[in-house]
Amino acid sequence: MIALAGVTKDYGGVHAVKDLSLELPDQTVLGLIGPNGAGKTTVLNLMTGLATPTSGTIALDERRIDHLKPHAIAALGIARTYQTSRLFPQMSALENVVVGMHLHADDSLLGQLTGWPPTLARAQRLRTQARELLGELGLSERADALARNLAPGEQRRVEIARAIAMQPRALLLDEPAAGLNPVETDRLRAEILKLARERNISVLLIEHDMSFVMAACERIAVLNFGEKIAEGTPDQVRADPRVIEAYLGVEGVA
Amino acid sequence: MHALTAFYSAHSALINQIGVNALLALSIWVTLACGQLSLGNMGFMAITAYASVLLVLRAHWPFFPAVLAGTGLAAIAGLLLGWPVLRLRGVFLAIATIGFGEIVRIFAVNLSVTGGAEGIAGIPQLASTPIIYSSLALAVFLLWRLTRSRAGRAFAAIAQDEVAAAGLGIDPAAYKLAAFAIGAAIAGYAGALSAFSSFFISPTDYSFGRVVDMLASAVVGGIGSVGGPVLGSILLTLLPETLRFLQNYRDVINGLILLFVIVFLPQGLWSLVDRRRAS
Repeated sequence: MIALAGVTKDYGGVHAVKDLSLELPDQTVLGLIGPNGAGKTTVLNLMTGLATPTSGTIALDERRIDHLKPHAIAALGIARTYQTSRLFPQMSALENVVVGMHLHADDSLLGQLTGWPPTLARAQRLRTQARELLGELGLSERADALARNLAPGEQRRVEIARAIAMQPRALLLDEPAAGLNPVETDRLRAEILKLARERNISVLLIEHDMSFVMAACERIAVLNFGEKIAEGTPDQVRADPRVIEAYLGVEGVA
Repeated sequence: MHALTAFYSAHSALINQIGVNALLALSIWVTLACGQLSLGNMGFMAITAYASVLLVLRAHWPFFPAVLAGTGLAAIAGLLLGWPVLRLRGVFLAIATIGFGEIVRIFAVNLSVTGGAEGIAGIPQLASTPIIYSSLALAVFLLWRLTRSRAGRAFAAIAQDEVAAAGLGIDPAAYKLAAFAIGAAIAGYAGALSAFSSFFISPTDYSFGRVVDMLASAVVGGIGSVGGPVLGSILLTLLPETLRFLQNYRDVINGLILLFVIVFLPQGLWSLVDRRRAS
């Protein structure tokens, strides 16, 4: 379980995130929604070490992770994707996924330098696994295409495959459905939920597409101006007057 | 056979120079492969060259132990330089590393043990053509294997997107330091080979122009693969020689040819050999 307790992040007097407490238990899918600028991506950056909390703590199980560097947090099993693609553009889709296996790659440097056959076989096995993972996301035919030449929807799925290749405990997705059409969105949702369930990965989903979030998540937390204004099941959140106010504004005001 | 030996004896200096320049271009390529524009390699050359020459001339060490000790010294210097500049990127890193190279050169000018501005003369010709080319072959082979390894994949990932690489559990600082040390060791080793294939060394051998040549060779050859810097060094070393007949216009034509290569083959000469990535 990842637990944020009283987390505040200030950027020069502006509270990007204010006194946020949030729990992502194992094997759950939690949605994090809110209007633009609510601080959702900042929460992801705090959880992955790209930003350090001004106050408050973030813990993975009992272990504090809020002052660890990004690569150390990744090594503890927290993977993420980004709002705009951060694939390695000059590598093929397959190579991107193989880099995702960095923490588990067992082809030793000495073995590679000497061309030791068992090491080469292990390296080949990594590529086979990467190819299978891309296949699960329907990308078998695009495995050898350069990442920069992939369509945006394909890039999104390769990025998810790369994150899954880390064998993480938790996967944090930053607007995975942005820019996709409804058919692609439905397909992506099904793929994410299937992969997470099969591999016992908990998911934190930031998303603007309400139907996506409502259908995918067991629980949803709502941020507005950096503060959590509601949390509960999709039905509870949908009915919450403060959520409706945050999204639609208050009638009679303005 | 006779023609071949005659050709070699007429051009052995140039042949050796190509091999040394290829190693130097590879030294700068290693850090580029990890996304770092490090331009202090003339400093590492100088450190190994002076150290190994002094060990041979003054301490009467045998050739290889002296060169290897000097190479180790350059690798340590690479780590010591790499640590404080880890946070720097792009032009800022370039300027800081150029500063390091200049510091080394100024030390060489002012120390008495390095012979000051006059340098050290009477260096034995111990770096033969077979030694230079077997070193180059070994370096190319090991670096090629490195690019295919877990560490090589991490280098490429850091070069293309450091944030995303760290998010996958790759420690950028550790790999950048490793790249610095490897680059420094290769530059130093090549510096020693260069010193032991000329009669004397002086601080002017390690001026800024030296690293510009290395960078130009790597970029013209292509930094996408280990073959590029070697190809680039061959061209950049041979071109001025083959253009001798142009006399005063030589440098102009030389510069124009390089300009055309960069404009029309932005991926470098190697992209002509390896079309896989060209499109």
